[in-house]
Amino acid sequence: MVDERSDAILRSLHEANIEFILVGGTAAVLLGAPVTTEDVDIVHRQTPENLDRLLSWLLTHGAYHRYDLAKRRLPPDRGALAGHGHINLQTDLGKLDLLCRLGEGEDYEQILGDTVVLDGGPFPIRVITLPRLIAVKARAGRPKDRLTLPLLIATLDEQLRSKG
Amino acid sequence: MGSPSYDEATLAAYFQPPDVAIFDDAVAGAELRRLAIEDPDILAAVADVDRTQIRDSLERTPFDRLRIASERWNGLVRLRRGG
Repeated sequence: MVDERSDAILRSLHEANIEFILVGGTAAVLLGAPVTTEDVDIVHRQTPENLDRLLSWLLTHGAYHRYDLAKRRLPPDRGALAGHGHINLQTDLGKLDLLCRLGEGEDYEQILGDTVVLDGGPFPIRVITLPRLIAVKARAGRPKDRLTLPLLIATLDEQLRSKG
Repeated sequence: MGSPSYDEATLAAYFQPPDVAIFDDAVAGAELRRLAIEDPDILAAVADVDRTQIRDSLERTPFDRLRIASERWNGLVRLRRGG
């Protein structure tokens, strides 16, 4: 399910000049798939300047790691943002998952060619393409990905049919 | 479960397997061809997707899709909270 403030997160990241690619369920919604998702997943660009902007934004918005059994509300650090993992955060605007890599060999620069900028709305947003999202989820093969794939594939099928 | 109240021809317009052209997609094609062999249930499930949901969605702008999805979620949250 889309978090009630996913739009606010995306707008705020844009206004902070943070370079990112929207992936995951919210990307699927924007691309036309009738899916639901709770959090916003992004792949951020790992240049020093962008990491600085992103870390500053996160600290401003009270970000902390959602997964901590001790519930210490630990803030993210620059090292994690510059790494290879997935960082699952809670912010004052909602849940935000930072994916340093979608998978092996799939950082921001490497997936940039399979993105599209949606600029018909209140702010432009770079989103992974539907075919690439399908490929990523098919490769991941987790139960939640397998659940979503028929909807994503049917959406791509509809788009291809409408193009004739 | 009961059976649909529509004839086969009508249902076929709204519940369809993917067109074979999708397997030639330059980016997703290879993974879809692999799924066809290794995980065919996923592709079989495409025929159970109600295409009216997708067609309605594709008629909207991307941000309208996001707004509607958010409103739907907010409504569910309110229901869950009991008002």
